[in-house]
Amino acid sequence: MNRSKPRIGAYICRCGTNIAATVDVEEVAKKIGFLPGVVIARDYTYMCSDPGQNLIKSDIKEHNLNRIVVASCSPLMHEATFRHAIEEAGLNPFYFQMANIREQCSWVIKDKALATEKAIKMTTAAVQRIRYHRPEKMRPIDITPAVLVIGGGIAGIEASLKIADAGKQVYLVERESSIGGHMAQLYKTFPTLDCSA
Amino acid sequence: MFEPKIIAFLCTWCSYTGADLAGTTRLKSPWNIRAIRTPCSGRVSPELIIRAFDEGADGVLVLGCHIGECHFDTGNHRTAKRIPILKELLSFVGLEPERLRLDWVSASEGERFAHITNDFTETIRQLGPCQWQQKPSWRQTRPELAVITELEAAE
Amino acid sequence: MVSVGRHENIELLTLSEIEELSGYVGNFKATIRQKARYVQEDMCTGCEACTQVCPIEVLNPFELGLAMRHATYRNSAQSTPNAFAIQKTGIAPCRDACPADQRAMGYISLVKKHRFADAYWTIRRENPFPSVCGRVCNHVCEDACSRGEYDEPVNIVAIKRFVADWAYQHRDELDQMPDKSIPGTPFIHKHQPTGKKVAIIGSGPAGLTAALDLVRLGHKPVVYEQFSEPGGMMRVGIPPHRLPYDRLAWEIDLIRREGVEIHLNHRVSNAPGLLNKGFDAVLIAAGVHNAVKLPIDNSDHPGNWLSTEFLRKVLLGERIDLSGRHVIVLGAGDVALDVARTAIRLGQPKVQILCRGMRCSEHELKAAEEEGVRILSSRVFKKVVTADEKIIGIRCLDAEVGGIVDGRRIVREKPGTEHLVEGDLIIWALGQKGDYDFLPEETPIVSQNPTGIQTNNEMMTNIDGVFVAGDIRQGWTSFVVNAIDEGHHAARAIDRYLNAGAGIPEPSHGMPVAKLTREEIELKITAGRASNQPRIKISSIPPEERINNFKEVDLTLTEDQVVAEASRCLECGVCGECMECVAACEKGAIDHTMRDRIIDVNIGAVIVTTGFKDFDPRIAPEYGYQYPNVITALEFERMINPSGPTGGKVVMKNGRRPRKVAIIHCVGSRDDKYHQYCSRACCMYSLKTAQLVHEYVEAEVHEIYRDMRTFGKGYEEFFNRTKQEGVHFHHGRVKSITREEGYLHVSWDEAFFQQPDHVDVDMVILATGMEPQQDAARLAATLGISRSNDGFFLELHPKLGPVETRSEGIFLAGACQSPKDIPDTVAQAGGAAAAALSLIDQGTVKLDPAIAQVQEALCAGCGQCATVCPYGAIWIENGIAHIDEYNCKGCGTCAATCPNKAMTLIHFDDKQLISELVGALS
Repeated sequence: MNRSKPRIGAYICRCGTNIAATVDVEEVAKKIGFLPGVVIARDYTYMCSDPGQNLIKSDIKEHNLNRIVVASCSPLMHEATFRHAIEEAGLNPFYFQMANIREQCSWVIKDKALATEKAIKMTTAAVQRIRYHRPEKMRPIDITPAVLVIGGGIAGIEASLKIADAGKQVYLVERESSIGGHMAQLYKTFPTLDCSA
Repeated sequence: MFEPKIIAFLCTWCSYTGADLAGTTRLKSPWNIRAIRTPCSGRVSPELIIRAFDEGADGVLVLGCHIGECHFDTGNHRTAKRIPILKELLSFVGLEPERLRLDWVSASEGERFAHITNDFTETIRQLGPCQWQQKPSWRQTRPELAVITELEAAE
Repeated sequence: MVSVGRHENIELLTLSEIEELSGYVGNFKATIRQKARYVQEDMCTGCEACTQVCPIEVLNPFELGLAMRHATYRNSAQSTPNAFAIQKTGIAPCRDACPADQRAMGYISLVKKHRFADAYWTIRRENPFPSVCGRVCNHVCEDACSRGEYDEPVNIVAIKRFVADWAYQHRDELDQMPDKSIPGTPFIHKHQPTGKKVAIIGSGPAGLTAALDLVRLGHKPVVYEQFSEPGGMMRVGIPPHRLPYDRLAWEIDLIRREGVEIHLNHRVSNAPGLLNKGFDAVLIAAGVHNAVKLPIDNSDHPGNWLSTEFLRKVLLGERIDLSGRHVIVLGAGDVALDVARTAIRLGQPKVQILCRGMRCSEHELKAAEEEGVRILSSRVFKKVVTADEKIIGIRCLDAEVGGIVDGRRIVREKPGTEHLVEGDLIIWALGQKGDYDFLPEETPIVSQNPTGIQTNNEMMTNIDGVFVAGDIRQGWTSFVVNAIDEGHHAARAIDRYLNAGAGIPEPSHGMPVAKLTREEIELKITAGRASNQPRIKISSIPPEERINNFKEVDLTLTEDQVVAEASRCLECGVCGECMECVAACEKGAIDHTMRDRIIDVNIGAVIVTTGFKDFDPRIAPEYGYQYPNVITALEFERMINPSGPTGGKVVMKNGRRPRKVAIIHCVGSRDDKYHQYCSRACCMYSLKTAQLVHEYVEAEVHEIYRDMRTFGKGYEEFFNRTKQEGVHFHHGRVKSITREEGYLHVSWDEAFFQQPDHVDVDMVILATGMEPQQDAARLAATLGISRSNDGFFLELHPKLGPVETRSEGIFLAGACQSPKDIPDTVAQAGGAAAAALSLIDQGTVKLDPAIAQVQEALCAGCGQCATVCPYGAIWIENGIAHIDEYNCKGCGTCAATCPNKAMTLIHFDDKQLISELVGALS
């Protein structure tokens, strides 16, 4: 499959009106559809929703897509979501690229024409980039089943106990000579007026 | 009015997050900025910058983590050394060094991101279109980097 | 808290901080520095015996400085762990300077508490001769004393002398007091006898110190003394007007009583030969007792005496009458002064000291001049002049005298100034050398040029088993305290020799010197934590009462004086290692030799829960924290706490109960001058404070709030309850708090229409906000996590990732992420724990493939990639770069650096990035 020519599916998210209010998503989908290698280009209300993800999955099967571009929010938010979705459809998760047309486009530009143009450029960039993607492999490695908790105040104590009760090793590191932090200094606490220790 | 094309290389750990934060807080930033996400500003090689000019950028912005806050310890130290040298080289070949700017934006500095991008776009607007395209192209000098041409030929 | 201490799956590391975090999600390695607690955590029962005997007091940070605590401390009786800890910031400069390692700060702190017997035993740990060193020491400790930076050093010698005199006066009771010297010294008292015998030649400070140490180690020392009295130079070199015989005799007697055998009038003629007479080792500590003469004309005339001989004769009881004589002492040091002052006491002859320039104690010089000794300095002497077989004086030249270079005085003679200094008796006190007669010729011990005896690092001569210590090792005279140091060192070396290297090691402090800066000193003195009195001077008996006898000249301090002087001590290192706690601890849990520990732990996830710092209202003067009875809410918490500094009483500075209290909201929060954010917990804790004040203090309460934020479950109801109880609420933004006669005036802006805009109260409680911890930036850098603009740690996403960070495997909980109250903190901590558990319970984790990769065909092996790699994950082997795929974190700096483009970053390679920017620019 990786030797075959790119067959790219591009999906432009409306994000309700978050994107669609300032970006003409239909125009973006139309322009992207003309790019070489792009087999299908659509817009949809919420790409991250289950129907949105299913749309991609069924397109992959139906149109034999091997590269997926989603133009929506920041990859810091949903890259993992979509990678997971295309992996479920049998594609390597790295045959995926996101264009950030919300945080870095629709939300920062007032003018609809300019925002649309920028969204087209950014999606084009993602489409161009994805041609050179390769089927990368995640590297599985064993986890050390222990947790370091830094700070022995109320949060550290609570977290340590929860993890230790689950049978995992905890290292609780406290700077002072004893734990408790500010809480150990308090007398009664709101709203119940019970003692804090 | 002249509207420049600007490539912004953003470190995913700081300035890219800062750019997202600018968006989340709805701070306006210019449409001219086209962001390229990199794992660290240390990844931004001179070739990438030159290539951006080569492909028609009027300005290139490199935004990394503040010194001392690099996610990779010292990756941005390299950037801090590399960019000033590249600026000298740009002026040597007749390009305004102001077209390349290195700055630091942390993940929490959405406001700073908006300010820098607006300011840089204005600077480039004043400078006018970049004359680089009339110079001998990288396609001739470093053919191994001319990947797009190859691809287009193949198709 | 208690369950944390008991949980089998929790390893609690207190007094610890993270120094480094390496590795990656699922496989981190943390390097932790655990500071020395000086108390074995598992042995301490928390019985408080140590803190009861600790003489040091410092401000108690747990009580926010409202109370004092000892250097041996525990935050509260409910602390987890319940073990005590000892606060030690370093070794006090006085102790660091002392050759004998005297814990000066330690015993001074005991003197401050009137604990003279304890102070005496503290001195005796390192020094068997407190009476001697309290009188004739050169006190380098005082030169090092931090207090010297401010006014004058603490009079350490006078304090020591007082303690020694006190002990002498109470010597009969002292026998019944427990000898606490056992735990402190490196020597174990009344050890199992080893059966080894050590001969010691000389009963001076070096010999007797070594003897005492050896007997405490279980060996059998036998001391041989050539004179009729023990003590060496302390007995035959220092006249009793400076060091009374009875004090020295008593201290030597104490040494004898511990089992040291001293043979008097026994001159050893063959030191190495003792090895054949049943001794396992020999220590030569004979001192240097031969004064030298210069070979000038008539220096062999019988009217030329030697200082050592003269003093020895007088001090051993020979009656010499010098009345009517005309004595010239040649010399410039303390010995010359001793000789001159001794001579004066033998019939008040005319005594003159002839020298280039004096090099002696100022105090002694002044005393000598008071007694009538004349100093003729800036002279060089050429010959002793005789007439009719009798000495008539010394021929001298005037000289210009310069400084001292390499131990020698620079002089330039003035030609033509020749003159005669009249006198009929010359006493030479220019210096002393050793007597090596007892070294037999057939087994020569190598001497060292120009003086002394050659030894190795273990103080052993070239003859196996023969050691040497003290003045004779160096070949010149030094101070008693140096001899004591030599004695200790020799004893440890002999112990190691007798135990084939396994004996007592040399002690090392392993701590920095805690010298205070002038600012720190001023702070201590202005805060009343050290007395601001000037140094107390020693007084002496008047000259006319002393020149015809050998009564001690200097007087000891009174008890009041010595305590006042001890109160000047700044207690530089906090704990002075007086070792009282060690003696008090029945479990033997205290270990002052503990050192910081570096602990490496392997973990799969990290949860950061470092909390907040209380806003410091000192930087906001409008809130009047500088005035008495303006306190922070946290200070109020300590006051109302029954186990707090006031035993649960909320009182004003005058000790009275406040009748009217104002509580100010938003101190440091929601204010552009300080912090923009809302600290979230303050409204609610202010309401709680109001209820407590209302109920327990029975005072009228006024709350000045800007907005009442009671958003949590049951919070609004709590607010309503508070209102119903009669607490007064005023909307407003406090602009100033001023101190008036007998009350505090609080005034505010933004009052509601026709509502009050000020109130006069007895006490103000400031609801201070939360700030990031002071070292949040450092920790963020160590862990590789980000901070938001307000300085708190940055979560992955405010809604979708509130406990995660951008660094996978590192989670946040509590007020280190943003200010929050206890319910929210507990909830978030549970969330973070679940997130961490869900990660580590997976068994394996999938690492991002985006790491560096070498295209071997292009690599030239130049190594630039290895230079720039922040993780040292690249190395060159066989001319090609190799990558450690687990240490590579995928920054791509190597890819940007590689001149051949052989290094690429997976998923961020040149083709991908270039095509992306081509698309972006299309």
